Amino acid sequence: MDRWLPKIVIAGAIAILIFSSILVPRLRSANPQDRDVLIQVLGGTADFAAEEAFHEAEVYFHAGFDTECPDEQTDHHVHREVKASESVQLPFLKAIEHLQGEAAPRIHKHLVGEEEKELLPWFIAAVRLNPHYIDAWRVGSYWFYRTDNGHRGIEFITDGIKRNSGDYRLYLDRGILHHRIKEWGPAIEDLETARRLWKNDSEDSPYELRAIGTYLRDCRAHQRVGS
Amino acid sequence: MGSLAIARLAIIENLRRKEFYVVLVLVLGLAVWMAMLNMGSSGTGRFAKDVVMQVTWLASFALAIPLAVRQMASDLEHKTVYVLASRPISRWHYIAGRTLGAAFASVACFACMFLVLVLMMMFKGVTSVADPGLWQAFVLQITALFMVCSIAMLFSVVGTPGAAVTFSLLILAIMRYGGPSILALIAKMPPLARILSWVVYLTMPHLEFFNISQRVVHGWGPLPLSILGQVIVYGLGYSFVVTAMAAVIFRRRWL
Amino acid sequence: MRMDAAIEVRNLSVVYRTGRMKKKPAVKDLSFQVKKGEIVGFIGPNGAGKTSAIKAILDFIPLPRGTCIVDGISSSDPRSRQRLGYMPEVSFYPKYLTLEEFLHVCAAVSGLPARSRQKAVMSAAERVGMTEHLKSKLSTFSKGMLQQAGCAQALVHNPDILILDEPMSGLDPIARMRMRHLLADLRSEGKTILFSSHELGEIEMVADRILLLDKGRLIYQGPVAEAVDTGGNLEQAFLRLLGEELPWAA
Repeated sequence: MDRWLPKIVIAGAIAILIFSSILVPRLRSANPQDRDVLIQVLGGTADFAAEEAFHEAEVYFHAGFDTECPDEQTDHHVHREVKASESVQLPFLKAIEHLQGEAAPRIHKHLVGEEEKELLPWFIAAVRLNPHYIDAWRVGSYWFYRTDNGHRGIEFITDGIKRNSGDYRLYLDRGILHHRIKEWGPAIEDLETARRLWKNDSEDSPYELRAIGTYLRDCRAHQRVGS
Repeated sequence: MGSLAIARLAIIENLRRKEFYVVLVLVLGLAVWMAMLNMGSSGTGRFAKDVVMQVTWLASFALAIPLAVRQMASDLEHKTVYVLASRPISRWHYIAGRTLGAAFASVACFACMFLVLVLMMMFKGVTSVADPGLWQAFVLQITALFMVCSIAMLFSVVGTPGAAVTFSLLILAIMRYGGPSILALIAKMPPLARILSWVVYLTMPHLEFFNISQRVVHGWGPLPLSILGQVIVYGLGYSFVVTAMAAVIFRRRWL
Repeated sequence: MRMDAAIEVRNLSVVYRTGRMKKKPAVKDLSFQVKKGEIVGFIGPNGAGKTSAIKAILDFIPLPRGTCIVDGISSSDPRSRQRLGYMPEVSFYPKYLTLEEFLHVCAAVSGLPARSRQKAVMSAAERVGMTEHLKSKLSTFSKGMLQQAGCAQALVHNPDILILDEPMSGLDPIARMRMRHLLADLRSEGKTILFSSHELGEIEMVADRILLLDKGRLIYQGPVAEAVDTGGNLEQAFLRLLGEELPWAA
């Protein structure tokens, strides 16, 4: 028995691994609302890691340059270089700043073209760590649309809707993506759902309600014209 | 010669322990997983490189600190220090030998992990062995390992092994990842606290200089050689001073 | 220091701190010499201060009160241990090394040139009868084998002065006999040996002189023959010398 025991243990471990690899994905696909067991175990740390992953996407967009972007609208980049200390005068501290600056990128630039795809894994990581991270779904879907194709972006945000079916913002953004690729019917459907889910309380933005209305009118107009 | 012989002893001991192989297998597993990674997009080059580099770097520190702390603790607990201390070597030679041994053993482990990392990145097509930035990162990490081992040795001379590991990890985490932000924090303090904080800040090991992984990941090119030279000299000099401090403290210790 | 003294200890005091304000004296004003070429037995009851005195001689206790001079050099100077070999009481050695590797390290740390180390290692292993175990890891050794390994590492660099702390501990009768012969051989080579032991029978057979410690003080030093002259054997002499202070001594 002593001779066979290690072999039994190894065989048992392999069997458990194979069984888990078959069973776990089935359980997960049956319950898309559930988070990974590992992430459940990580708890609040997973949420923090998700935020860091989302922030990394921003850093990656700036090719490693850690920036502050107080302007939320991506079309108007207002960046300022994060200085370690503006009041440092002593030469040896300047030398430390200089050496720190050499280690990491310090010049403002953006990724362009195919390079923008480098952002996508961070959005995927963010939503895997926290499936209820709405901003990650929204911004990620935009970048999937921009770098891959509109359907990829829609696919991404649909996954988010499965996990957050009560959030109007995801329906709004999916509707906008449908609008961009000229799929008027699905766009109208999503925008109407967004309007229905929008609540007149302090958390739901009235500006986005206005945007829902604007996009709905545009989609219906295009649908009537048949373009 | 005495220090080198003690260093050789430390290397043999540490490479014959099992922990190194466990960590290597974990890193290998991670590299294989990353190489097969399909995150649903083709833009996984930097991501894979970034994650594997960070894990490899952290794993090398996680190996180095307990390894360095264990040198002294094991010798004193098991009285194996007597065999060495009864020879014609000073306490400085002993501490230097143990620190060097821990550092060399850590570097050997890190070199194996780095090889796995490079092979994975070449498989992914995101790097080549001709990338000077990658090799600079390798050399700087080796220097950082020397610093970390000397710091861990200093803490192990003054405190318990557990405390030595904890404080070494704390300093590593704070300076490696928070180093650039600390100056800004200090600038906001009142004058007296600011002066004291500056003194503490200057004496801390500036491990953030040795972390050029972001340069490598985002393809910012290699460091200028003058900067590389300055940083290496700083790292080795700091290691020497800290090791000397450990030797001075150990000189007064009863065995 | 007298030129024929291999080890000289003058007014040595060792005090241990056992608490915040508590001190425990282990050695009090100890003075003795070990002449070149003699074997001196260092004896005393448990806690007498033998190991503390040895530690002071080896600079394991830095900056004690008093003076320790080895081979004409202060014990605080590492050069004083150039010609000294030490066999510790507790036989713990790096367990991941083989005996051969361990002896090589010891030889290297002692300053032996690389070209003469292999010969020195083989010679030391042969002297203690451990040649066939050179390739074995120290973790596989029994206690007695570790004692022999400890003796080998003390001899590997051919020292002139040996300090042996309980060299017979854990040895079987054959190994003890081998150790006795080894000590006799070493004396015939002109080595100086200071060895501490509770095996008074062994000391009686081997030592020229004894130093008897009790409660940190040297209470007797002199030739073995003189000590046992009226006492029968060394054990009885030992008890007799200590007996006036011990109410239960016969």
